[in-house]
Amino acid sequence: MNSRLPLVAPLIAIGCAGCVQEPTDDPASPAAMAVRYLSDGDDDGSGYARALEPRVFEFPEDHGSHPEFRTEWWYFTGNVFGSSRRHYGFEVTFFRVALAPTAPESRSAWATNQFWMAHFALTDTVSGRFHAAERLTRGALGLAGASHAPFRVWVEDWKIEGSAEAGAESFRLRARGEEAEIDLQLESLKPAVAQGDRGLDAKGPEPGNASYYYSLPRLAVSGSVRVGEDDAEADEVEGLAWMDREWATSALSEGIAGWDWFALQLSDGRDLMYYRLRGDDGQASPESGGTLVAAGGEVRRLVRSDVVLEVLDYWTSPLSEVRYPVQWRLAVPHAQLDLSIVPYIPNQEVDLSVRYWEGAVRVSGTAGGQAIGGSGYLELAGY
Amino acid sequence: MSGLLALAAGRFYLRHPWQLALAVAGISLGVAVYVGVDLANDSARRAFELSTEVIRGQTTHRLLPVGGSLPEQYFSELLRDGRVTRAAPIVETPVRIGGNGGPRRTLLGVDPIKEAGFRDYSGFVPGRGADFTRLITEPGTVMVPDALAEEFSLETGSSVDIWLDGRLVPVEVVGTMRSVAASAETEPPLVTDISTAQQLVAGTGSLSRIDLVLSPEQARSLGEDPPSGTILVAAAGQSDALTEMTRAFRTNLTALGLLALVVGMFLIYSTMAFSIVQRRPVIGVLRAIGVDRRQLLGSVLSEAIALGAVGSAIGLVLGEVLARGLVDMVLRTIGDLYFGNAVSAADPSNWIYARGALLGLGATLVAAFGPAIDASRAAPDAALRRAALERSTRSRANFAALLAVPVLVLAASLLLIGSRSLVMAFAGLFFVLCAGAMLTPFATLLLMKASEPVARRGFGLAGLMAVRGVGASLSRTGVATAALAVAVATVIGVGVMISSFRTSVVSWLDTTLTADIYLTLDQPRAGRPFGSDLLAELSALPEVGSVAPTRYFRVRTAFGELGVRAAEPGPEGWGVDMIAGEEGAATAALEIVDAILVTEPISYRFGLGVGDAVRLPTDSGEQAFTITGVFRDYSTGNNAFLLPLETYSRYWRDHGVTGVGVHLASGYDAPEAAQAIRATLADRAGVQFRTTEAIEEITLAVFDRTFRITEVLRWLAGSIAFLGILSAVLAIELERAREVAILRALGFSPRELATQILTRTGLLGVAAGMCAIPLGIALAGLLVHVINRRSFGWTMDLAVTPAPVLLGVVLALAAAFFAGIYPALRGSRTGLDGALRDE
Repeated sequence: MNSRLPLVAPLIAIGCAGCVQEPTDDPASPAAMAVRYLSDGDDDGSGYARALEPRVFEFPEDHGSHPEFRTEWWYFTGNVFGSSRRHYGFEVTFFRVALAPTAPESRSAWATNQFWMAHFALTDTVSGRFHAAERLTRGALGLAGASHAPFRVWVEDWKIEGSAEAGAESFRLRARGEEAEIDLQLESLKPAVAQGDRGLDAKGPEPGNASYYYSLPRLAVSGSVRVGEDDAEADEVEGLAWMDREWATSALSEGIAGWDWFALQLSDGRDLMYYRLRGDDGQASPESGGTLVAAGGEVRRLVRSDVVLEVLDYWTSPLSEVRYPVQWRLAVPHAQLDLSIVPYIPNQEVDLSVRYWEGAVRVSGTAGGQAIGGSGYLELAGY
Repeated sequence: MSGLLALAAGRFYLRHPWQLALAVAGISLGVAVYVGVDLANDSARRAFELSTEVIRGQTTHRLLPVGGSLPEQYFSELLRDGRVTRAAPIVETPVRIGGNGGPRRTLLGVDPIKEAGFRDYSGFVPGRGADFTRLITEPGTVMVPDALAEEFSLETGSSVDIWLDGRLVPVEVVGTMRSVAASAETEPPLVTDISTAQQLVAGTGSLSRIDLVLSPEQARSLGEDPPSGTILVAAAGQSDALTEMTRAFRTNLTALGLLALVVGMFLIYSTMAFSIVQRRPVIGVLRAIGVDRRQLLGSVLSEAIALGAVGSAIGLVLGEVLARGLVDMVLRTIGDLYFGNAVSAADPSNWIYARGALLGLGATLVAAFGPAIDASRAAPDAALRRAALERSTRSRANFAALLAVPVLVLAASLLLIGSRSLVMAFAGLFFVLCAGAMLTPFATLLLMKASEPVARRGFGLAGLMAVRGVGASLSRTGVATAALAVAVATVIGVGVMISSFRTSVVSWLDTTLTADIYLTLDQPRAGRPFGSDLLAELSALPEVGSVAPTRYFRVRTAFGELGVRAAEPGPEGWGVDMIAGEEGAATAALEIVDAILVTEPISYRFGLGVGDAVRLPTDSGEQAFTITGVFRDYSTGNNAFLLPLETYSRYWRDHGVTGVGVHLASGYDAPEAAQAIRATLADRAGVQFRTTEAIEEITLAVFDRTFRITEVLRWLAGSIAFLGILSAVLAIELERAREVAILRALGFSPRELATQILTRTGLLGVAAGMCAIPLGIALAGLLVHVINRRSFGWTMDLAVTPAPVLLGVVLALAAAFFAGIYPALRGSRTGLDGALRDE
């Protein structure tokens, strides 16, 4: 899945108490205020399209926007290495949220029903520092938007653009925070993977409580990363990235507290995505699931019973004082995979208008008895 | 032994409770006035900062249109190019609530998503039920301030009509906001989404301004290369000038507060000194039985500390009470002068109380030090003799008068050295007052000497005795007279300053307001000028003789953001009160070269004079203008330059005007013309309409309100001085009970005695008053030419009118005379036996 759905859930105010901590009244976090104010409505989702049936994704069109659905996102995470194998993790996300099913009628170019939020986080493992920033804006006046031909998704000066032809996706991703900047070229190495049931990813037992979800599980990355002041020297990097795309109108079912999401790229060429939807009781819900993509691109769907998950260690954020399970054991017995997942650095808590932990992880373990390694991203929400 | 000393002191005050009360009252009042002013000032400063904060929020810079409007596309370009990261678009327009006659408010169009990062929705946080989603997605929705919601019985879902651009538009309330500033008097805006604001004002495509939070690098880059037709202005720049002026205003008040404390010090000194004089026999005895000087000194100083502690404590409480009244006055003044609306108070800091207490104690100790030394120096036998004391006082009066000369020199050097420093100016002023005080006893002796023949001829022996009595009792009256003289001089000086200032303002208004009726935009800065059609319509009215359009705008210069007025001369000329540059030549030059006139405060602050060049950003690039004259301007708000409309239209593109001066045709008077013009303007919102008389009235009302606090403070200082003279006179006259009894025995009637006592105290008052006149006028001169100049950059003519001077003398006389009533009554009732029984 993922998971990012509840991240934006407070924006649209669907009952998801506990998924994401209510932003505080702290005026130092104006973005949190904006998000809180915007979330202060009640809306049952009527007027929007819903994800009811499996669908055949059409590219490049589906890389573009689906404004008939309430929410939608483009999610990029990756692990790259620069000079002397210096490791960086990055996350860039673009969220679109409709505040109303239709755009208001107005002569003003500012009139819109679209709200955009983007997050950019960079993990600098050597210095142990984590940089996170966000942009909030309205989908008007060219401030933010998405199109498929040419492919382009942007929120102000953060953007991904390029060619989105099926199987030959080639993007340039740029984002800049106060002390971090990336300019990366992404080339897809595997075809898009439809998640869930042929792209329809159920979030609960109710029909329509689902999203359309696909991933580009392996993108080759090259480009530059700059950490520090504007005049700091950029580091040339290479590595792998993951792209998640999802759009929906619904949210999580009642009784779901959050999720733990894994996107791992293994050294044997396989890619694994699994999310555990976590109930209020801490147990995985039946809708938890994922995929295992072979080096050649063959996809195998994973359901809850296919996967063994075990927390090995926790990290408590000094800022929010929230305890996150950051070290895991993930095993897929029928694929003879047994993996240990450890964050590159523990502090990768994104504390912006929405608070969650999303970080670069190092993978080690065995596959069919052979040692295996890799990197990936772990997302912990609802803690 | 120290027990004995304390006992002696304690007993003394127990037997003279009124003396104790007066000493404590002197300290208390001094501390109270100082603390009151300080509290009021501090509160005002914080309120000022809070208000600025509310308006400005986190904004560090503003992008403003140079002439017309700001294309909205600049906003997204700046963000998409990454030149700025935190920006908030603003569309601002004046509206009236309910209809054309309804209350005026600002309609603020914001992007709620961006705005939250700036100032909690322009200083107002959403109340319950605020629906920002609806605000953004439903055109015609607004959030209204709580106070307005209450006034018009609005709640979420209500509809309210707003009047703008000559039409009535219904809008729907989707939430209320409570004011962070928490003042019922401020007028919070109506907030709406920027799309609604644009649609309502038919200003699609443009913004009023863009508020920015910039890093220093971003600011530098954008400042050097702003989008065309815009300027980047530091948000702080505007209020820095304000801060400077309000600080000057507060410094003035603090100085007055300190003055009250100084006058209070005189009172303490006089009380202590007199109690020492009275206790000389006791001190003599104490010295005779072996108390040494150090012990005596310590004893008197401990006494002072005890008095100071009690007095300061009472002073703090009184100061707190006083502050409540003063805060309102200070805030109203600052609001009037600099904000155009009221500013609300903030909680004061505890430091002020500590400072007040320390000053109270310190002042008491300093004031008591002289008397304490006196007491300790007294030789056992001399202490028992009175004549020695009076003789030493006389020579001391001479010595003080001599000492006044170096003090005056010191004052003059302080005033000259710190040629722009306000603090130095106050220090100089303080020493001038000191010198005045030092000269007073000497001058009193001279005056009494001079009036001896008159008194003898007029009142015979009784008159002569009264006159000589004043001189003879100088040890006890000298300081009190000096204190009274200083206080009365303050009353005179401040009074003369205010009346001079007022006279100058009236004359400035007369010169400046040459037209009969003035029309201005509610918010000239919103940049929505009149159309030329309106000018034509106005000119066509039979009542209108001519119209003089003006254009007011603000420019960013090397000196910060300044106001510029472009105008045309009316039938009576330019209407400027020139203080530098020859008027005819200066204004003639305006019409041929790129000449410009500068206001006096700006000229003073930045050292700009005739012949200097100033560079202003224009629509045709930066342009140098030559200053040909400096003119008077008592308005606040950084108004800097005046240039001809013709020059303006040569360098700036937007030719709309922001104000019109209407000169009436002969035979019409303002009221009837006003009717006609009002009818012409009926359907235009945001046009303010005022006759010249109304402007003068409002200006002077604000002026008077500004100085009300000054008036209050000078009367407080006067009251303290009154207490001082009362305590001194009471003490002397009561001590003279024996002398009075002898006079009764010698055959003086009770009536004669009463007359003599009242004459004596009255003479004291006359002496103080006489001394106060030159001192007061000197003080006024300093206030007018030095303090006001350094505080605000204003000069004015010193106009010594008889009223404030006479008032001061009457005050001195009345103070002394009233102080004599009780002793006179008592003296006249003195029986023959009682007071002489000891003999």
